[in-house]
Amino acid sequence: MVGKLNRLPAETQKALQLFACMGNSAEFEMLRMVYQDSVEDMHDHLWEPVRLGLIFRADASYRFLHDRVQEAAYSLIPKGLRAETHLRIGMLLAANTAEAKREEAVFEIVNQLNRGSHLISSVEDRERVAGLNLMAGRRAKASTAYNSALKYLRAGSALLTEETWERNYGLVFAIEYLMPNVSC
Amino acid sequence: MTAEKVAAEDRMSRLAQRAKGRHDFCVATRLRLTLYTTLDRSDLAADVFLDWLRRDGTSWSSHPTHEDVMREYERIWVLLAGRAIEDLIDLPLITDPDVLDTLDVFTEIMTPSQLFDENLNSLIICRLVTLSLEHGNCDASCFAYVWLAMFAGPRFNNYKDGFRFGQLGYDLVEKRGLTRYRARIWMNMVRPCCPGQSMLPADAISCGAHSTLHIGSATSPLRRTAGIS
Repeated sequence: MVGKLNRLPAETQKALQLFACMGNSAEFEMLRMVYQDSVEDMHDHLWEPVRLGLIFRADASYRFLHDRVQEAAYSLIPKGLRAETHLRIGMLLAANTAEAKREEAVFEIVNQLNRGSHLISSVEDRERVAGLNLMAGRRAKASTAYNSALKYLRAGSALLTEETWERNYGLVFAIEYLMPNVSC
Repeated sequence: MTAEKVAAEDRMSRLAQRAKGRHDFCVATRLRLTLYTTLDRSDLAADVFLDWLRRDGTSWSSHPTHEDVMREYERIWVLLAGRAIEDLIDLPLITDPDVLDTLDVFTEIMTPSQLFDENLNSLIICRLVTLSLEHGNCDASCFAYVWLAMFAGPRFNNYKDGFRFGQLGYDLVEKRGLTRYRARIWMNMVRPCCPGQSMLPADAISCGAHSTLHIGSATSPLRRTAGIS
């Protein structure tokens, strides 16, 4: 399978790698944000794998034929670059998702960000990602998914430091308060 | 497990120390009271509560005297000022966020204080009732009325008015929609608060436990068993 993918044009390989990071299927909207491309270019890049039956194109999303294909595409990303790739995808999704839709897409966004969040160095970005984890934690709690909620809140808390109590009190208080509320 | 408990304790006590403003301090205090209730450390819950109360300007002993309790109990009748207990259903709803915060903390100390000191528990119940009489009704008021119902008989030899307060708490939940503590209230209503008498219809008793799992919006009090579980 990897050999088959390797024979595809470099641009297409790259498109499949990013797609594989996002899961078994991805909506056009999300893929386009990550490719930073026009809709036409996105479909162009994915035309060849569609023709070969590696992925399917539905009304509003693409889907891998099989988990094995997704895994093979994912394996094309060098191990050392995977966390960074997820982080970049998460950042692009966060930046390009409209404010009104952010809450709805928050799980997809933080699931990407958290796989590379240890690489974030700027305090502002760490707080921003912690804020998205807080949002995800609240949403998970609202649907009584306490284990997931705790996972997001812990991820958020890990991004903050002592100084956050001075810099961004509301954020750290909300996370620290919510954590015991979902861990009992 | 033990390490986790200690970590949770530390975390929550730090949260309370760092809380800015009264609301956050109340919220963090509530959390600590819940934790110590779960850990069966009502002594520590009492410490946390009394410390919170002191910071709010009121100093209470951890073991108040019977006279302390009676003074607060008598205030209930002074504040009633001739009204029937049933009339309290029409008290305005509390909107002052500071008062709501106070009542929230009081609500959380009810259970652990019962296990810690009978007089402190009575004083807390009576104060929660008098706060409601002074400021109006809220979810916590229903809880207070039902607790008073449980203990007015055995502690103040006033079973009759206790029952009326219990009915008031229940009616506020069911008729005024103050449903936040519905499960706790039902649970307390099915405890024997009057000799040989429970305050709920038999059908409701059978599903009291279910209500702690899921709060539905069934309309008929006698047909809850199916609706609420």
